[in-house]
Amino acid sequence: MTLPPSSDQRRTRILFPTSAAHAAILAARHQAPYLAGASAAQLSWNKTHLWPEQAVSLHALDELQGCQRTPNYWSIGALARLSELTSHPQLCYELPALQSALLGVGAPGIRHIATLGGNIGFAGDLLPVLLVLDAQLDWRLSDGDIRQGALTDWLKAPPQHGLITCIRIPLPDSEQCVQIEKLASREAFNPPLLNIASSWNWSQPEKTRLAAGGAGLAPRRLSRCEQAFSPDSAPADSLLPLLASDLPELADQPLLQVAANLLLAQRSASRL
Amino acid sequence: MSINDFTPRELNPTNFADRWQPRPDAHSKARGEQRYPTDELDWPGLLHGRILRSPYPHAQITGINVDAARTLPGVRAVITAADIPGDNHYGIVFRDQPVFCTDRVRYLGDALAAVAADTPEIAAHALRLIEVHYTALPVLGDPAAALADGAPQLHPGGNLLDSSQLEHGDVEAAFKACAFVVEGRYNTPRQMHVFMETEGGVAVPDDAGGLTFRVGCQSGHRDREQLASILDLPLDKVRVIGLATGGGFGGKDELTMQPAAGLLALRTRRPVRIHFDRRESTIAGIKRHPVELIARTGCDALGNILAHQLHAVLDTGAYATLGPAVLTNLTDHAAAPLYRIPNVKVTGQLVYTNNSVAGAFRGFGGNQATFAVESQLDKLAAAAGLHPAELRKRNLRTPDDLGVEGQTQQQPCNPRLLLDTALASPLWDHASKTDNGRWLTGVGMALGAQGNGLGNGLPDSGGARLSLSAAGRIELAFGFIEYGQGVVAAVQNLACEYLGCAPDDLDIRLGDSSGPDSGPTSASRSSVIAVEALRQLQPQWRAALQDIAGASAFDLSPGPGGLCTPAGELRISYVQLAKLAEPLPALKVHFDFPTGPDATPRGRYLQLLIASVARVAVDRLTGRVRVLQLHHITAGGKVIHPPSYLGQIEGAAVMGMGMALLEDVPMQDGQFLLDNLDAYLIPTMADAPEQRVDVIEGVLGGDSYPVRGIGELGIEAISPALTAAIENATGVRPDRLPVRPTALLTAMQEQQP
Repeated sequence: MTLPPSSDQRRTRILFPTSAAHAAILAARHQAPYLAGASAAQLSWNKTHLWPEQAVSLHALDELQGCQRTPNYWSIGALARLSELTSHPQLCYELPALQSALLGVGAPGIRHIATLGGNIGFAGDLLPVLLVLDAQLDWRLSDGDIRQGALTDWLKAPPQHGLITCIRIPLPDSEQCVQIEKLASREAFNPPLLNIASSWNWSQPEKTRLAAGGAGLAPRRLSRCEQAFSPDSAPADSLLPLLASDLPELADQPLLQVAANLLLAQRSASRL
Repeated sequence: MSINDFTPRELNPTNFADRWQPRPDAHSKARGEQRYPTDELDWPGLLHGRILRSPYPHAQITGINVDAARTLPGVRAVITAADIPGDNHYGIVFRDQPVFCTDRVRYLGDALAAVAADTPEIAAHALRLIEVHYTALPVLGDPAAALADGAPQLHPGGNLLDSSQLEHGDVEAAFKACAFVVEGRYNTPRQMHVFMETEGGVAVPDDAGGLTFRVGCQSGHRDREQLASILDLPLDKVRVIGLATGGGFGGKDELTMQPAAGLLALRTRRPVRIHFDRRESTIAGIKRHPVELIARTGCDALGNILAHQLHAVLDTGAYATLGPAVLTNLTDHAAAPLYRIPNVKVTGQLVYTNNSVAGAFRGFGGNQATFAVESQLDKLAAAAGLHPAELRKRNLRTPDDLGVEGQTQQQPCNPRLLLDTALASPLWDHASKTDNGRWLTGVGMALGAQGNGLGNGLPDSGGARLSLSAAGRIELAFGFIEYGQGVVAAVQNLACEYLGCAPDDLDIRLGDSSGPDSGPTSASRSSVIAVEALRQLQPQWRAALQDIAGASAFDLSPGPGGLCTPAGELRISYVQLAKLAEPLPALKVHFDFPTGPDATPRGRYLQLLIASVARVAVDRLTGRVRVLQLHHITAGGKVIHPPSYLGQIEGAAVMGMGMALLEDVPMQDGQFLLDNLDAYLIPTMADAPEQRVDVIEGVLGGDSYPVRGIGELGIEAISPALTAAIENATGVRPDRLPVRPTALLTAMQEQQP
């Protein structure tokens, strides 16, 4: 039976699955959200004063833990804590842009409890950088299916009660230059106004990746802008209209100009 | 040698290390051992109170039914206005705020009822069972709407709570004679105090029908008067103990949770604790007044300022609290108190709206006005082709000039000395628009003046009590509250200097309404009161101790441990003196706050000055501002406790940075657009810049008042210093605070050819 959210947080019942498959079944059966670090979930529920009747705790699921390097990619469990990743020397060495983005999330206390899967599930600060890194996801469905796909596709149509189990990030090639920038109001513990990430590969321009996210802005690839950049030229004059088509929510807002400035600056820096 | 010969000592290289001691409360606070008002959880039979607040910013109340809440198991009392034995209103200046509303709610924080229950959860649930029926009324969302013809009247006297006018000369005629005239419109934000400990405490009934409040507050004695009136109890049945509080900044000057907790405790005869969560604190708490200031300033061809006119409109929200006093202080500061201007006209309007209640906040209206005045000075200098410092030099008041209200003043130093010291700041080496690629850097400066005390002839007095206990302890009591500002450290250092004792000889008692009334812990007045009290007590204390010791003690003086010889040798300990004494000495003093020699006190007599020099970097891609360095030159009397002094100046500056660059509580139609610190952003440690404080310690006029309170000084000039630095970096002068990066970027792009 599915019950509506309650305004009394004491009534939220925590469900403890024995496996990822079990978790997906419970979530679908009870229409219950997943709980990992709960740093974002708590904030959201406190703000609305509505708590779910049930929530599915993922804490004990070891199969969602871990961070391993394979010959072609990094494989990171959805339950990996952000601070666990920022203290992983090899990961930080090979994916410095990801490290930088991780260190920009919340504050140390939050990074100790927040998870990579949770950040994706709550459309957090990390999505733009994960998008330009061509991150792939593994997820489970309640019918037992295990699926794989690109993060960018997941974001377009997140499967209902799909449980992200693993995030796979291809190893960057030597020609790739990844940059990120978080525009925020202060130096630390910041909700972002705008997140811009880019990945440039001047020997293979078709691999250019641009992405944005931020306050009130669903994270996404900037596909029209991606097509406009070439090794020889930047669409300085035409960038604003292209951005406006990629980010229609920002049309006529000063933040659109900020996004354009940051993209052009990142492109310039990538050629140094 | 008289103790007066060296008290209070100036800081110098030989005594600096001695004076740089940890605060007496430093260790307990750093270790988390300090017990705060909201830690009062271990009272036997403690009940938990919650207050029901209005969901409407403006509505008629057509009915309240608390029956269901009263029958909930675990609920011990549910009270409304009908249960108040005394006056259902409070307010420091005008008692216009209902404890519980009866017929109308005027903002979202308005209280309607309160519950005491066995647990906080039961109390919260009981609130949901209270039925209140409303009829929504039109919302006055800003002062313009409130002053419009036909606007609903929020109070019997109308929506214009107060107005001010300060005028001398003939501004209209003077503007006609000006070679240069500049105009500006400035806006300042609705800033929150964001104390770490939100409003809270406990009310404890006694067997004699009285109540003791152990709360976070700023004036135990004043709170006691208001609470006795609400509770219909004689004053001696109400005791308010202002415990060491987790931050005040003006936000606990007014009553907060005390009326509801007291009424519930009286009703249940059990201790009742109330602690606002951050959301309730945001909705119901006091804010800094948002102000719109429209200014016009003019000078002749030589840069002599001839005329200055300013009109300010303050959104005071639904109730008065200290709003009228804020308006008065803002008006004084808006009249450009640092500058000699022959023709000035300042007008102000304090307007009721259905927004959050605004009242006391560090700076008290002065810093909003100083933002406009200093911005005007810079604009006028640019129009006249003068360096901003040169325009100031030509127009600074001298120490002999009267204040803006024509009052005699005691300046700490010549303002010209302050300006010259600021101009020697090393930060100027980095001035001008050095193009370092992405980040543009700039340096700017602003001056500020500030007075101590409540001012304008308001009743303002203070006192202290000094006694020797039977155990030989020196007990020194003041009514001040220690809420983080360091008054306990200042009192300890002053007492040791004036009384000659060691810190270990001394027990300092603060914040108890059953003790001496030292007046409110506000208006930067505590240090002045402490010095004056100890100066008066010192000879009496010495005589009292000598009298106990007998005739042979005529050449002994109070020192560390007891009475000492002129060579410093201990002769009779305080413990021995206590055994000899019959009775034990107990001295009291009470006096008026210094208001100067004028027959009719106006403005503020004791003045302080500050120059703030700021260095910022502005991101040319995003408009983001980083504060790199701040250099303050302060003239506020002698330094009593160096770490506390620095903490006050630097902390106030970072608070001012928040107002200038980050903080605002936006409201729309009486609704809060944020209610927590996830969206209301204050500066973090990572934002706090490198700061330097240079102190001009000597004061003019001898040693009459060698110490001034500096709790508000650091915030006075920080906003205009930052916007001046931004202008130096970018060419854009922001007039609206906080400076939003996107707005600054847009302005930067608009000025490009």
